[in-house]
Amino acid sequence: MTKFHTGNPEVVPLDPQVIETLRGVSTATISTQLARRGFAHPCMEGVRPLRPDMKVVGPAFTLRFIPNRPDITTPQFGGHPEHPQRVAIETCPEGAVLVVDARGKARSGVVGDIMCRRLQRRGVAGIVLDGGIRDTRDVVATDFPAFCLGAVAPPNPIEHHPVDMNVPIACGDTSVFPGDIIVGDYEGVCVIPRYWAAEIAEEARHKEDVEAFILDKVDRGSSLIGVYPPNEATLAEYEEWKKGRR
Amino acid sequence: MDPDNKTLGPVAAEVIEKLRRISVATISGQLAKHGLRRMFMTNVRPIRSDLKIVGPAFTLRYIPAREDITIPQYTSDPKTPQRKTVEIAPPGSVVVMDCRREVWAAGLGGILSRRMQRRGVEGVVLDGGLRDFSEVESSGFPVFCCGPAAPPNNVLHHPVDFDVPIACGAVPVFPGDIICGDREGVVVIPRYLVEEIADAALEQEEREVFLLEKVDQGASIVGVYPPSEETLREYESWKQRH
Repeated sequence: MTKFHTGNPEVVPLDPQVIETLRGVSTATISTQLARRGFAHPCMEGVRPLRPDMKVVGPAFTLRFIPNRPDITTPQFGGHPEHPQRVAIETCPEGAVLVVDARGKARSGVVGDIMCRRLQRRGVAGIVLDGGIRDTRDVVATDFPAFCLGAVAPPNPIEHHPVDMNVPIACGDTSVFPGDIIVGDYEGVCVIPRYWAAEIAEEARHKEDVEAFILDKVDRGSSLIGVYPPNEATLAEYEEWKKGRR
Repeated sequence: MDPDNKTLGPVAAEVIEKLRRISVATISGQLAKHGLRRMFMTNVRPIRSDLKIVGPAFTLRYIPAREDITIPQYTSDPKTPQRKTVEIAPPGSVVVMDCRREVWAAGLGGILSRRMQRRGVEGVVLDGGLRDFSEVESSGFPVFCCGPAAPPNNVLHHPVDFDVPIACGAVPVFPGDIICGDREGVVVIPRYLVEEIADAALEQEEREVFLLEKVDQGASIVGVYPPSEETLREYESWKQRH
């Protein structure tokens, strides 16, 4: 087996402040920043929080499924200590987001209440997957940030077989490399290449600040011309507004 | 854990030869008898209806391309999993590519196909598109895919690893599983079942020659398909004569 990918060849350290900044900005703003850098798919397709107020930010730790095979996707396999899903749940680092490649299939719940509870107790930031989640009532009640295609009842061995973890994967038709920064909110989930996280966080924070000023102007009856997008004069006005705010 | 196909060693040449004489339809039926009801790939077809392949899987995995890293310097690097696959997939093996069933761009094109053909690779199976379609079609190299697609590989795919378990056409493929393809499509036989499936399928097809003969002679389906005890006895004596 050979691995060769240039996503995050050596996972560069990330200032914890970047995670904090990203917690304060929306996926809408972040996806604009990614789109400006040429990304056709800055967000996962169809992946949504189980509850609208859920927010998740953290580096990706990945798990990969392929279609199940009834002769090997057995209960004995499910209980095996080397079962990649069990291992992922026990080794996903604190503060990380467990991102699972379920190939966009949502006929079964990739995880349920017990798996989520264990992740939560271990300090994992949340889970993101392009499949279903089961026992969602409990997952929601415990406030564990969980993002998926929908709530579904059946267990995952009916359609999935876990094969490896911490490898590059596809999730929601977006590539995810271990260590990429995941941001999820009401509108879905963004994947930020790790080396761009600090820059994008700062730009997103700035953009939202300008937008707060623009919203304020619009509320006061301003037209959008010259205001959104802001021209030089509006930006100068924003700088003054910012000073006044301090 | 996962099927350790390597421990079982390569499949004997005569088993591969047997499988060449058997249809994918028969193999699929035999797999269902083992509880394996979904080993036939969805929407993966031969580029020409006369193509046939049988061989052990050598896998390649793609994830979605990323604009900042899936760039010509990367995709043409001899160290990428795709280029390595083309250069090291063993003669006689079937290269199986996980294209996530995305068909709007190619997973494979003419020059890499030609290189694999010259290296003696048995054929390629992918749940994605093929470009330089006519060229590959006329070369006689067996490719099974979802259809022609003009845009190049790197607008859609980023190769990440090879010789790992993958999904292809909604079917799990482990390296070393036996891939069989004919005009109806592609089926995957778990390595440990190959010998048993080959024998049972060959026997089934022989019996079906006899059953077809009976239907041609005007027999009703009742007692013939599926065959009753009596029909089976008849078949045994027919076998002696043939």
